[in-house]
Amino acid sequence: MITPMNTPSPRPLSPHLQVYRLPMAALMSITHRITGAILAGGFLLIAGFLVAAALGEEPYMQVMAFASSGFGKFILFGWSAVLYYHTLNGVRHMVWDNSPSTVTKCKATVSGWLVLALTAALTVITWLAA
Amino acid sequence: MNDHTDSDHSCCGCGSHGFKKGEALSHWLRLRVLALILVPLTIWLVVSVAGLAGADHAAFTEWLSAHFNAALLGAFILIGSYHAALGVQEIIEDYVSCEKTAKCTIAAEKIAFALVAVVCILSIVKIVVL
Repeated sequence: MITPMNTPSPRPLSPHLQVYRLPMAALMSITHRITGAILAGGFLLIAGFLVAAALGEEPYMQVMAFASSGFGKFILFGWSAVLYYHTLNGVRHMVWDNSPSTVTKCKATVSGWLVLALTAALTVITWLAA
Repeated sequence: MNDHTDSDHSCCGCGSHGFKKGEALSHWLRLRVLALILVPLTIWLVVSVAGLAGADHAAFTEWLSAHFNAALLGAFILIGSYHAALGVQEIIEDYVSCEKTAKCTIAAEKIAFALVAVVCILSIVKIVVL
């Protein structure tokens, strides 16, 4: 097939991100990936904490002093919210994989809001309890 | 550059990052099986960390010296870093179109996660044994 110059290709197009407002399911999907990447990076912090603890009391106390500072608490709070989101939305994906009948626009919207509400609730409960 | 064909998609003339037969399915399945195991481990970790908030060095090493805690933390780190490495691999495969660059980045990323996991496990062993 000859495609003339300057005419759009007949190939399917992805949504043009600058003019197309992503639906909730798509936003939650990319958020799942972003939170996964953040958690992957978080392993460096876990390693740093464990190394400090293995080195002795003084490095451990330095890490804990940072963790209890304002910025440290901000990181930990964000980390907990990101961990809850990725875990809960991951369970949502596993439900979808195992029962495709749950993948409808209506049901995905309900389960999406459920994930967001549970993420907020569990994050707040964790920080009230800790 | 108006007539794209599928083979133009990658700079090396071979799309889909040269997956062998069954490799993509195996990757998909491993990512999800690891995720499933991580759900209870994550709940345990969040509860434990919340309970350890503000713990001094002696309290933390005492907690980790319980073999149950050391084993579960070790399991979380090994399974979590493997899940993270597979997840980051998926992100690279989706966004890096040059197959050579993608393969090198994936290899580097997997080595990095293996190193982080080894550092974590060695730190745990040092705290538990010494």
